[in-house]
Amino acid sequence: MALLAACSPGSAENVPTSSGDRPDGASNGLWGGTPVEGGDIKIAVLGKIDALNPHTNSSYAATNFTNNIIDRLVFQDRDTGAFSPWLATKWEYNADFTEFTFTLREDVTFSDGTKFNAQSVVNNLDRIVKGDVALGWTPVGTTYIGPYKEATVVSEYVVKISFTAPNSSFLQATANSGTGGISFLSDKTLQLPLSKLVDPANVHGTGPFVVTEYKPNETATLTRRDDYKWAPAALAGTHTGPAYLHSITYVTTPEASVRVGSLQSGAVDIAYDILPTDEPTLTASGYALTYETNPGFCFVWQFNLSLPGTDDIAVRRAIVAATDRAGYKRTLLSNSEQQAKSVITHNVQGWADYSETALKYDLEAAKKYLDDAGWVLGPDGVRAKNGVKLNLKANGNNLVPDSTVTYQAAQAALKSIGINVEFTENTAGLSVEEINRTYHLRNINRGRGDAAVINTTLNPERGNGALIPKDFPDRQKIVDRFQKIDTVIGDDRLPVIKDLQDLVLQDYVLVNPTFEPSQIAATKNVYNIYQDAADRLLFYNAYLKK
Amino acid sequence: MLTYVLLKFGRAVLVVWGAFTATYCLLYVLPASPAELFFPPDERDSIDPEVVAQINHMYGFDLPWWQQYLSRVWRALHFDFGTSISNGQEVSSAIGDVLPNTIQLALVGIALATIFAFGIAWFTTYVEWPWLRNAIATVPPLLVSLPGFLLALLILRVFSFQLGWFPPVGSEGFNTLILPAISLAIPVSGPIAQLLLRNFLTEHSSPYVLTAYSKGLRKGRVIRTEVLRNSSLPALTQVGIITGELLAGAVLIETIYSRAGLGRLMQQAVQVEDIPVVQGVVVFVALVFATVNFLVDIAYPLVDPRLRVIPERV
Repeated sequence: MALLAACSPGSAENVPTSSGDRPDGASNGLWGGTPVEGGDIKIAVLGKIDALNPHTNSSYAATNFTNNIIDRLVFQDRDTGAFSPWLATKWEYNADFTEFTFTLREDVTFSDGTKFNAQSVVNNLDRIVKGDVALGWTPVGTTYIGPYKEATVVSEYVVKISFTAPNSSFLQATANSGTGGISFLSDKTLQLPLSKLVDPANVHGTGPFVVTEYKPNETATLTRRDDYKWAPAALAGTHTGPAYLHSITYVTTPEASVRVGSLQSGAVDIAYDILPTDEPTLTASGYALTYETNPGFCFVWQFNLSLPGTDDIAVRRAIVAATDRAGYKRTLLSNSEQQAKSVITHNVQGWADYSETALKYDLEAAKKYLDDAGWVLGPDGVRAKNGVKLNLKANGNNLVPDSTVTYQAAQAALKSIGINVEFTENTAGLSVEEINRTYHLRNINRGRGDAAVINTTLNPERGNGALIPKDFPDRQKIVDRFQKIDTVIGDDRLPVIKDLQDLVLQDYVLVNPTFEPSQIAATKNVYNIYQDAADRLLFYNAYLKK
Repeated sequence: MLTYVLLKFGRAVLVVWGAFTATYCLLYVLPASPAELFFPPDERDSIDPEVVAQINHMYGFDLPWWQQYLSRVWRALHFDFGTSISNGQEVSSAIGDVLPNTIQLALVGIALATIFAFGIAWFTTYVEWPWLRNAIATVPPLLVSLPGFLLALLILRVFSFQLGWFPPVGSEGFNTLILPAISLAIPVSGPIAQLLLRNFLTEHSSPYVLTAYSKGLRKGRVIRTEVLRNSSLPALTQVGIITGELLAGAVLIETIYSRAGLGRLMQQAVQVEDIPVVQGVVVFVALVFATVNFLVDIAYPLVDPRLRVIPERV
């Protein structure tokens, strides 16, 4: 038996019309006005576009670029999380979420002129999940797609995807533009060895732009497709047909000050990956900042439950209580970054506010947790219990400067309650195995506009981010609670998502959130810069006002 | 002479082989699982073991280490360092693509550095006022001690952002080459200027220069015809070291000016742990370094006849 999902086309209200306002009313960025056809713009970005293959690339910069040469089956609203048609006009799934059937648009072509149909979906999903050893394509998608069984052609424009276990979050996975997102390349592209995909002429998606120039480490250029006419209504509104901009050149500019300088001197039209410290200067000199909170995980320290010290829930509670998230927002973070009030960011469906409960800042309570659990202050100012001293190791993310300052502030607060933290900003040189064996507090921040990210990251049977040991008494109970999210859909998920947040923040204290990160674009003349539900850029609606 | 050349050649080969083996050990043998490198650090916790097994098989990481090593040596001899993990491009073609940029930058950089260095040395020797001479003589140590990235950012800020004379980023056209080349040349010119300056002053106070003066030659002519030639010869020894400095400088300059090049290829590859590219660049740089030093070594006896007797004992 099949349930039909709601799939009314998006309404024109989603399209900005009043100047200066974002669709949801927030006043950031340049919005609305009368779009202008044409224009070649440059955007300075931090990272290099390391690959042109949307299947295998995983860096933020590369997914941010290739997001414009492909389309998704389903479009997800970044504010409400609601799904609407894109390449798929409708979708159905069975009662236990092991079978998903998508009906596809019939007028879609790849940029090499070949047709997009059910076979394209099958070929691409097979490639993402299984890879192709002979052609050098690694099987990167298994982690994200879940218990994939097979994809089959029902008719030319109807495709069925089956799983060996319930996988209700698959629907969102078809809309996700973050790492592991599902996208479609033409058969010609799929038949090439991976090494040929550095040549733009070989990369064919269905998106509004095609890659026309690629110099790794330096620039990559998107040029619009004149025959594009299948943008998702929820994004495009009344805009049909090709994109407005003629071309967009991504200029990899690693130095933050050079990105800002290039913008100010007019060498580029947009500077992306703006550092929070540059925000006030740019605002003061008249630049419009477009920013979105990166949906998904907040910046958090995952507790290591298999190491002495953090295996005690009292210590974990004390660390969470000693972290002054509201204070960081007041003093350390920029305008665009938000206080963490849960493990996920506020723009993820099902988010709940724990700032006055599990995540309340209370230094006295933190001390009391430790006292009550028998952690006694030693002469060196570090607490100890049964020979275990609270000398903990922690890591961070050196690419996000504000994660370092907030983690360091937490480190100082923890010192005052007798927990000594040795903080290392960048542990990229260490193997995962070594980090797992020696680090008590491990940084993570994972983008995905869906609460399923809690499951994929922290479920002991999936990512096991808190390293819950095999002999942990409640392990099976925890797994069962996590698995539930893949067995429900729509509003039925809300209580499950709440339960997952309770589990992670309250019942077992698996993470210590610090803040919600953001991505910022600065410009004076580019309108409608759109960051999608995974905070990747979509240039379809953007235009250049001279 | 032949033994000398063969010995030097053997040493050069040893250096390149050493670089290859060292990078092989550091990059492929020591990490717990090279397959991890195919995933961004954030995602590594949640990789499916089956996927890891497939990747290990695909790249031969499941073979015994000596077998992997021998097959890699064999392929490296054919300039095959495998393919980039991040975009699947062949490492040799990734290097080939960016090499012209770095060569251009290095050549213009070294030309400018030579002009700066000779200018400083010549001027210091030529001027009569001791205070001015001393003032100029302090320039080379200053250039050496100036942090390269700061200098590059200052030059960029003034000449590109404020005056708008040159584009701040890119590698297309001669216009984009000038600021990076100047930024690269200034720190490199410091040591050359220091060496030249000392040689100029030593030679200038030599008896043969006094003889030249006593013949009634003017100072400018004496410096040009007598001092310059004799004091620039030792600069040859510097070439090997300067090559290294240029390549090291390129990492910084190419990053700040957002130019594609060998330095940036390396820096990016290190950042995303693209091991085949890191190894390819390291071995390539070692090859360049060893070749330059080999050429310098065999050029010595050609330039200075006194050195031709030494080889027998090397």
